[in-house]
Amino acid sequence: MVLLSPDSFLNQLTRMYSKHRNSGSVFVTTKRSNMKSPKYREKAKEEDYACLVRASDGKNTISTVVSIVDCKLLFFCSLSDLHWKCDWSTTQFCFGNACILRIERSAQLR
Amino acid sequence: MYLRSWESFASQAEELYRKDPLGTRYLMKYRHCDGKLELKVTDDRTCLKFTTDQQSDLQAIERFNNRFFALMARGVEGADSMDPKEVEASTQAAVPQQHKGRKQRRRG
Repeated sequence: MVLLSPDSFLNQLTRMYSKHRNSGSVFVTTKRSNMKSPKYREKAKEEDYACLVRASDGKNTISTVVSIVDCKLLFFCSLSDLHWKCDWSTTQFCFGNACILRIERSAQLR
Repeated sequence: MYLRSWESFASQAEELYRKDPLGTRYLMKYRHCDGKLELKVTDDRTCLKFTTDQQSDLQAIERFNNRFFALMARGVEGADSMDPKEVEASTQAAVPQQHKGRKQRRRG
C-alpha cells in the first residue's frame, strides 16, 4: 500500500474513479489511526491521532493521512452520470454537479 | 445489517463510533455503472449499512461525511467543540459553483 500526500492521493483517486466508470466499484475507507503498530498504539497521545483514508478498486490500494491541523478534507460522492470536471485552482474534484473530494487548506487552523 | 431509514443509520453509526473510536471504520463504496452508493460503519462486531441510488440523499450523506471526518480527524471531543456554523459553511462550500450564463456585452 502506498502512503501518499493528500494532494497526490486526490489525483490518484480521481484517476481511479474515472477508470471504473463503466465497470467495477471504488471503496473508500476512513478510520482514526496514529499509524503505529498495535504494540505502541496504547502509549500514543490523543494529539498523535489523525484520519487515515484508504481507497481501493480491488487491485490497487492507495492511502493518505489527513490531520485536521493542516487541512480540512470533505468527502462527497455523487450519483449523477454527468462528466468529470476538475477545478485545479481550488483542488476541487467534481463528478457531475457534485464534489467528490475536496481539500481546503486553512490558514487559520495552522 | 441494512438500515432503511437514513435517520436511524446516521444516529446509530455515530453512537457506534463514540463507543469505540479507534476500532470503528467508515467505508464508502461507490459503483458508478449502477449508480449505487453504499455506506458501511462497523466495529467488527456490529455492522451498519445503508444503500442508496437516489440523488436526493446526497446532501444528507455529505453532512454525514463531514461529521465523520470531523470526528475522526479531531477526535470526539474536538468535533463536539466545533462551531456548528463552521460545519455548515464547509458543507455549503463543498457544492461547486455552477457556471452562470455568459454576460452579454454591451454594444456601441
